[in-house]
Amino acid sequence: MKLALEHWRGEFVVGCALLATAGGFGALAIDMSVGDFAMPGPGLFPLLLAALLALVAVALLVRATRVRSAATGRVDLLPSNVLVALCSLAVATALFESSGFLIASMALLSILFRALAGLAWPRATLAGAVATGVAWMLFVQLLGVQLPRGFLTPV
Amino acid sequence: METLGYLIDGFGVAFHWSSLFYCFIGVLWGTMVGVLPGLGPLAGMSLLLPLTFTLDPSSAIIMLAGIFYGAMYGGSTTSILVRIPGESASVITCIDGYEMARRGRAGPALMISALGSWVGGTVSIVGLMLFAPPLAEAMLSIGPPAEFMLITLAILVLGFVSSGPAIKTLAMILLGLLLATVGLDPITAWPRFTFGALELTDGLSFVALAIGLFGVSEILLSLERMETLNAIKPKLRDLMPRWADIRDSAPAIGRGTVVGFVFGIIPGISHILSTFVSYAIEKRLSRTPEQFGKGAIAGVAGPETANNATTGSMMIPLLVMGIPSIPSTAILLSALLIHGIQPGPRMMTEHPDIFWGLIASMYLGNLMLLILNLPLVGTFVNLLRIPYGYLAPCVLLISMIGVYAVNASMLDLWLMAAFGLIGYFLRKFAFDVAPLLLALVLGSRLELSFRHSLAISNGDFSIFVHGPAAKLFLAVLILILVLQGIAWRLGYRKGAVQDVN
Repeated sequence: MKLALEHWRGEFVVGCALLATAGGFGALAIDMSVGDFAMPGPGLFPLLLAALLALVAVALLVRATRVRSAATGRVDLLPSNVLVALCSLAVATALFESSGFLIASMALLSILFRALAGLAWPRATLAGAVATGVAWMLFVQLLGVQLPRGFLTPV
Repeated sequence: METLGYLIDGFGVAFHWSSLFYCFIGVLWGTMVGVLPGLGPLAGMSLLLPLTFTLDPSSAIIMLAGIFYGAMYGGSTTSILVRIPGESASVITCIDGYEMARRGRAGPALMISALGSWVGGTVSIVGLMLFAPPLAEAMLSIGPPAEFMLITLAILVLGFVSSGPAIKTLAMILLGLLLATVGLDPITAWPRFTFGALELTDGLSFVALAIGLFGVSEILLSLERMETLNAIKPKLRDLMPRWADIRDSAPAIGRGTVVGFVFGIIPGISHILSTFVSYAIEKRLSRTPEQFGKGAIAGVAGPETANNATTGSMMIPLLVMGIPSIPSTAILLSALLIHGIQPGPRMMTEHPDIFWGLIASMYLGNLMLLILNLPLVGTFVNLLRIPYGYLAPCVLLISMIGVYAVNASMLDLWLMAAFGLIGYFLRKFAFDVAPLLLALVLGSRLELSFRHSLAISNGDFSIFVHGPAAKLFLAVLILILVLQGIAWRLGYRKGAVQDVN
């Protein structure tokens, strides 16, 4: 399955997202103390920026619909290897603190070595374990970076 | 004379064993990330930023700056040998550099490129040394209104010179400024957009956003075009250029140095812009313009010199005004702030050891690069043989470690992943994410100067256009527009840069 979007449609989606972001920030800024120009409150600057962003987002939407008729081409999105990389990153992030760096790193590297480098599962797991060990030695033991230890945490 | 005294003190710092060691690590890593397509100076600096926390400030800044200018050297290697720019500023070198390599003249192309880079880099440091002190003195006299105008000017210029359409750049700038308001209000300490999360009170992590928007999104984009690269491997004995090569390159190197230094001051993509302008100038002035595109050595010497000559002048806005002109110098700003050093006009007097130590180390670093790049070119070419399927997972892992190491925050890791995805989508639809990052860095200073100015003037907006400083900044804006006009007239095409980005 391959996801593709016409270029103008993509710009339209980004414009909508920016408009929503501006709306969200603007609404929250109004809830803060806005003050006035002589004594600006914490909400004034974000409110001004949100208003400007909303204007620019509308201009983007107009631009996107205007170029709709022009042949802007289609943009392929999230092919399978990109999707795998994103999902692995999400899995590793979820495991990072709860299970510790070693397991998170092993999961990330093994899946990606399998999916991107085409290694068979046993070799991918072995390569993942070796690379994790090297990273642990380099960053934790040598450079003193504090990473979650997971099952290695002393009880 | 006073400057010379400071420089000698700076060399005292730069010659310390730890400075030399970290300078070497920086330029070596910089060359490597410059060589590897998909990794640039920004990703290279972001990845090593957390590791600098345990270093003393001088060593940390020297190492990160080494990555920055080292990547400019490394970028040319892949342009010449594979026809893939390792770094966006080396795009134009692909044209004549690769043609030279194809005709068995890769050695002279690499040699002239390294020599030009060294000349450009070194001369631009002299410029930095001469211009920075008087500019810093002038900067000390400006108040909040002029500071607001200056930052606005810097941000507006980004819109003019960015690779994408102005409306898209403006959207990215405003989004960056809006994201910069997350965290405690700098004046009243009111929590804004934090949703009760303590981790957000200091604002969104710059490192997480930088690595997400540039590092992770770049990996995702590169995964779409995974291919094995076939590099031309030159022999060491073939490196020596002929007398005719040196004769044809020398004027191009001289002109490239001037072009690079002048364009380096402009925020945005000046390092890329300068290479296009230099190439166009060389082609116009050449007696054999028909040779351009077929392996003209001046087409390699000029642009390669220009992109390295920007590295010194790009440091001027950062060190003297505290304003980064490209995302890579924003990482340097971030590193300085983490180490408790505020870049700006007072840096030279409050931290002379760091300021002058950095300048002195840049001389040494450029020399190291010259020595390092030529004999090790074969080794660097071998890096290109690492399949991306092995490289990408390792870079993703290092990114995670780098982001987590800053604040030990899970939120930062999720932000990195989320902004990686956002950056991927934005870049797919030709939104340049560099202005977003620069606006994020400058946002809080912009807001502070804006609110202070209005409080001083009791809400009168005319305060922003009064005074000599405001008029000066307006004049600078006009000058930049003229330079931009010249760049367009000389044949620079935004589309070319956009393709690269």
